[in-house]
Amino acid sequence: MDYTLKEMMTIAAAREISNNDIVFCGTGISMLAAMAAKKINAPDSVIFFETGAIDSKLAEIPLAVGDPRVMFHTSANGGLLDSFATMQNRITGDHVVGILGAAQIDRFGNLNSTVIGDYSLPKIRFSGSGGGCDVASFVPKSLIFMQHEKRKFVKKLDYLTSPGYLDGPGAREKAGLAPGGPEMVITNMGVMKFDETTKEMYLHGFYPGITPEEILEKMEFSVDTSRAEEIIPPTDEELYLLREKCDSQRLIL
Amino acid sequence: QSDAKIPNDKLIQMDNPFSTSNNTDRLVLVPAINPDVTIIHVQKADKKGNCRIEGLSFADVEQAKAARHLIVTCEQLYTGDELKRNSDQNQIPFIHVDAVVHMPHGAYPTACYNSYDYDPRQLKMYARCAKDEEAFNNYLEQYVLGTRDHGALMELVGREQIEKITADPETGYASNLDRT
Repeated sequence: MDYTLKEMMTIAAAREISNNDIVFCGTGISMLAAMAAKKINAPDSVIFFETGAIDSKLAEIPLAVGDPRVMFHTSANGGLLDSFATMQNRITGDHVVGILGAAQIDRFGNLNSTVIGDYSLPKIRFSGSGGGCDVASFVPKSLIFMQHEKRKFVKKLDYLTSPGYLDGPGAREKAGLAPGGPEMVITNMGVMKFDETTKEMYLHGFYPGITPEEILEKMEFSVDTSRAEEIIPPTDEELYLLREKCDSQRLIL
Repeated sequence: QSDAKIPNDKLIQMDNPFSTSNNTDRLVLVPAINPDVTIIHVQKADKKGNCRIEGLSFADVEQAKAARHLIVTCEQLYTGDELKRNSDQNQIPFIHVDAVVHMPHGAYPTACYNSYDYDPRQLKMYARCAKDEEAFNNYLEQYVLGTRDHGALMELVGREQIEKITADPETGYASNLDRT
């Protein structure tokens, strides 16, 4: 294998982005995936950040969402309100793809990025929602990055920070949330999707060299693996563009 | 919760008072936040307190205007009324401002668009030190308590490093800076 799992994850996410998408991304691997999509397969996609930068060129990979690198060659440099309004605007909002991450996820794609343990007496306190809950609530399609570990794919979240499909079919609509929801979960072992009818997570694909059984061992709950196929590894061109045109200093990779 | 200034509820749901509007039956209300003091750093300010932010304002303008007291630090201080020209580029009028402090490199070690980049060396060192009690105390001693003011901190960092992070006028940051 002449690529890393992080490169595979980034490419797997980038492949999901198309030219009509307006991509909301946060710090880290999610901005690298959005940047890779722009350089590889979706040059006309638009990247925006919670800090208010809309249509960033990203000549260099930013350190975080407040890095001046997100402000260069934008269509507009606004603020937090502009950014969230882009998601809630029912014309632009329908094109937004959100990229999220979390400490815990359940079988309906609900996310916890707030606490491990009891809310009032947490074992670990994370930074919380940030814009995560807004993204999960308002955008029609989100991609979720996770590490495949038993303590992260849990039967029950310690805290519900951001909604996926809540408790199943129809629950988002009942709660007054925008239609849509999480599209896929991209991990260091494979890609999970959500069943159209049951809204439950299933294994969509596994990376070369990894088996569905190994993936199930890293989860507290079980998922359907009958539809899973091996994912096409990154091509030489994808790897070249990712390594040389996106993150040549290996700041994230 | 004990702090009387912070409401117990993070949010409240209510019926949509505009009934047919917005295609929703329910709305969510969140409490306003009014900080006692907000401190922000801007690229340009004048002595009266008018502020001009270049690049993203993120939530600075809202945080500034919501505060009971607002302290502004700036890269460039204008003694005259130059900022009253092209004032469509200003975000905060002086009526919100309590104090203006001229503080070049005031955002260091983070970045100030069009002025300087973040200092990767300093941020990495801080991140390393923050993980260890003794290292953190040493950092505090050397860079915070051991420097009499911000100018002294800049001297300690050194002209050579400051040069490296100076913004390229084309991009607003230090293009091709070694950030490894």
